[in-house]
Amino acid sequence: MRLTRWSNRLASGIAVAGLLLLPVNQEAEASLPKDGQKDARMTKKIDEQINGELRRNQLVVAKSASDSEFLRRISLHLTGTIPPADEVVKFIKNRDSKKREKKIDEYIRHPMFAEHLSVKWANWMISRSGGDADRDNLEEYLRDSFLHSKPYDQLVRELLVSEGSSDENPQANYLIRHGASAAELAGHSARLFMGMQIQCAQCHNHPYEKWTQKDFWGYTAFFTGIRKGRSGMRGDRFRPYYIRENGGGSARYQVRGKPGSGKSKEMIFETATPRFLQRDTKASSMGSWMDSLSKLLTSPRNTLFAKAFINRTWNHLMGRGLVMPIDDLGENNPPTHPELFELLADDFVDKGHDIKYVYRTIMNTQAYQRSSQPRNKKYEGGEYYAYYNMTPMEPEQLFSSLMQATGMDEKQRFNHPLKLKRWKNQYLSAYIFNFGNDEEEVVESFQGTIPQSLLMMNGNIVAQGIKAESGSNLERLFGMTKSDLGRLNAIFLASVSRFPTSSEKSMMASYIRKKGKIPEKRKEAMEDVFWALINTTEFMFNH
Amino acid sequence: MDDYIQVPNCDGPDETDNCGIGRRDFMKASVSAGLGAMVCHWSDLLAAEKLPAMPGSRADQAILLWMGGGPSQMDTWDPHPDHINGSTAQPIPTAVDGIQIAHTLPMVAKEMKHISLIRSMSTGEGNHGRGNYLMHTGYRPSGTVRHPGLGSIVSSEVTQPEGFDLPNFISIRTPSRGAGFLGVDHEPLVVSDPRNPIANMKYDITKDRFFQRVQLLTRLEKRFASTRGKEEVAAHDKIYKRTIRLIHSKRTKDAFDINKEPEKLLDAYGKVMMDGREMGNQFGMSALLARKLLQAGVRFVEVSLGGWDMHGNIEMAAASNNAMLDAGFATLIKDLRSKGMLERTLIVWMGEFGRTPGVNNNAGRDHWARSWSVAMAGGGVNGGVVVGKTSRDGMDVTEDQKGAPDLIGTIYKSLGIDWSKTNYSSRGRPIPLVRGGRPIDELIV
Repeated sequence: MRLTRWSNRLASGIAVAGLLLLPVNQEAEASLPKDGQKDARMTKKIDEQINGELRRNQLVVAKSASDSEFLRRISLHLTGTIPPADEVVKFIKNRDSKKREKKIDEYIRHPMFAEHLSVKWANWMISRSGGDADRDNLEEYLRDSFLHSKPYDQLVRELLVSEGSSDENPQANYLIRHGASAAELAGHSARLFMGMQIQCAQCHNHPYEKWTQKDFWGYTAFFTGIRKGRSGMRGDRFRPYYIRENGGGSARYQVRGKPGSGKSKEMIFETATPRFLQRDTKASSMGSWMDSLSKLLTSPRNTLFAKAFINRTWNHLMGRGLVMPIDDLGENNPPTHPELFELLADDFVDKGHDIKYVYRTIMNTQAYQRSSQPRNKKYEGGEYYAYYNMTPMEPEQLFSSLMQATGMDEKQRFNHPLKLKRWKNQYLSAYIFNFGNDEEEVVESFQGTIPQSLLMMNGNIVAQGIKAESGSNLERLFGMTKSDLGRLNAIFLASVSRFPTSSEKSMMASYIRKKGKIPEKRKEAMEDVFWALINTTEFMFNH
Repeated sequence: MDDYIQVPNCDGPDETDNCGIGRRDFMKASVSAGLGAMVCHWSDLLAAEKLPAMPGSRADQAILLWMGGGPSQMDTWDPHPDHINGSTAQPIPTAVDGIQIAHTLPMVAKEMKHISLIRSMSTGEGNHGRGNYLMHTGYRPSGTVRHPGLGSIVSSEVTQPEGFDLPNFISIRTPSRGAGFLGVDHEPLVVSDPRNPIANMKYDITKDRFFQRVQLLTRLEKRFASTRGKEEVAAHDKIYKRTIRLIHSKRTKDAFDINKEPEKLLDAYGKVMMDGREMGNQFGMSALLARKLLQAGVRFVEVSLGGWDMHGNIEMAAASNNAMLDAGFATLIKDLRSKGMLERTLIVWMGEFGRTPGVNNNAGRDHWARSWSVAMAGGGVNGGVVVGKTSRDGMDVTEDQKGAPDLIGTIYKSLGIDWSKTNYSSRGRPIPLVRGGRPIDELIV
């Protein structure tokens, strides 16, 4: 059964299928085990820290999540979609005491994990629209990197020193996306890779942090050799953008003379030379400033690099960051669990920036596996993880889950494989907003807007997907069981990944009965229930 | 008069809320703490009491022209012909003596008596996301509170008659900012194409069956609400109700359809000539849709003109964006005037920040939040006024420095909203409508 599921998904990511046929990228230094490392002691330490804070704050802790809740949660986090109905049943029935740990391993090992993670990171790096970058190409590079457990520091170094065109050198696409100016690149890279909001220091010394204009322009000076361009036309189309590094190493900026210096009304130009985190820097032996920067930024001595990754990943898995907002790790913005934060960041460096290891370690904690049902009615202690902090699904998760629940991807695989991609783009367009700038904020989740609600109520995917027609999940179920209760069980499992409660069962069964005995009407009634399930808050959240 | 007696918020060091207390509490506090402790309140209070009674005509609806990416002040409202920094734009005279703007805005220049400028914005957020947040809310982003954007505030403060079934805040081709703790009732309806604004409005089943489904949904929500997602289900329920109301509203079809407007008007809004070629103007079309929506009673519409993030070749880029801006903005003013709507419609023009006075190595300008411009026009504000001044090189504000809260306070006051009011976040934290600023009175009618 699992094979069907994976093949479904492979069909939805045609590129993944292609990837599997390619030889393993020889250039990637696979210094880490392909499936990531394991360290059960670390999982324990995390729980000790979390539980300590819970005790100190005298909070009542939620129970452990049920099997179906757990499976749905890890499936959304690791594969980007809800599990198929039969997999839920199999998991609930499985008596192995280590089944949760094993399931986490199974998902992390699977190509869908690399696929899902590559979409997330491409969103963060170049946003959904991608600007001038070649998004498909970057995603493929990321997928390949995650699949083969490329260490995170190596990945970031590769992105920062890449030159070439967007189609021929996939990892150049990060610099292409933000390469319009050195200041732009400086701001984005500091925020994404170090959680530093240094742009404020562009025009004045930072109001809350220690950053000065000199620091900002010193950091920016690293990027001043970057040139983005494109070389004319190819036929009647523009050639793709490329990125080159040539010289650089100084940034000129305007400052005001010091008050009382007699020059306070004059503009003075200053030139900043490369300066990383308040230390002046020399060019690398290669003479490339980006090469120097990539090493300084990803060095273990720069603790912000590991911390920014940990906070982002923790936020992804735990529903909130140890620091919020997640990309502002300034001193004015302390973490909820300072000791734990240090511990996780140090450990990440010790384990060689192993991404899969971090996922495995966090997901095996009690904290991650707690129920989202709080023990107290006032919802106290969410920031201390007294219960699991639920989050609305990301747009990509929602799309894939709709496909999974309705069986639409399987149907389309045979008929129109490319239609799937078009649907997905059409679907995501309700989430891509043009902010009119080249940073474009990434909308992380279903936000409950009217256009998004209309998409769920009346959109063609839902409208077609819930129909009991040939090839649909509903039609398949109808063939498998004749009883209303059996069918109800199946559509609950397919959508909200659990069995209906007894009151839900009797409620829905009576609705179907009222529609009379004509088969067409009963079919319609079942479609109505399916529509309602897909439109619930429960369906649209990871909880 | 009551408006004026309320205690304004001061920009004190204490950011908690002793500034937002009500009048009676304030009197008590002043007496017990002694006058010295709260001097900033006293002076404001006395000054305020001398003001004349509120004049009769105020705007009661607004359009925000959002210039995403950060437009250059030097290439729009504040040209600097006498300095090398201003080399990318020539100034032209406008309908108001003594006010000059960039030469690429000739039609807007003719409407200058309806437009006022603030040339002394200084806001300190040079990152797109943070600048966008600050200019929409008056607050810097913080970890815990999601501040409502001004569209949502207007939507909640300038209410609608019972039975009005369109969203009170609509945003065209831009997500704007959400309602934060004001809740989904005041979230913007975001439309992406002015010609074809809302997708998926029709269902392919009977109305009866649609409502049966909705009823099933309501029943299925119960378990989740009672065990874990009370707030989430409540928000979901509200947004679905709003959506269902919109689907079935008789007003919707008319208010959102610009295709039946006279062809001449469609052309004036929606077409520009560039290098001898005719180009479509989505910004202009959005402005037309905004006018229709305001006519139908919507209180706040945001319209977007993006592409201002001009790190390279700004002279050409600004000229082409200004062509769209010029046609859209000038036509909007004329159109509102001819429909008798101008006096009651406030128009605000702004982006998240300005651009560096100095031109960079790529002939562009980078982000700049220290000395830049915004514009206000139409109802509720005086026209032809310039607030503030920048230095010869454009690097510094030399007169009347203004921040985001000042601008936002001005917007609220010109719409007759009590800008000194305090809202409370879902956790009961007091969040004044305006903190650390006050309306610019010389702009307000």
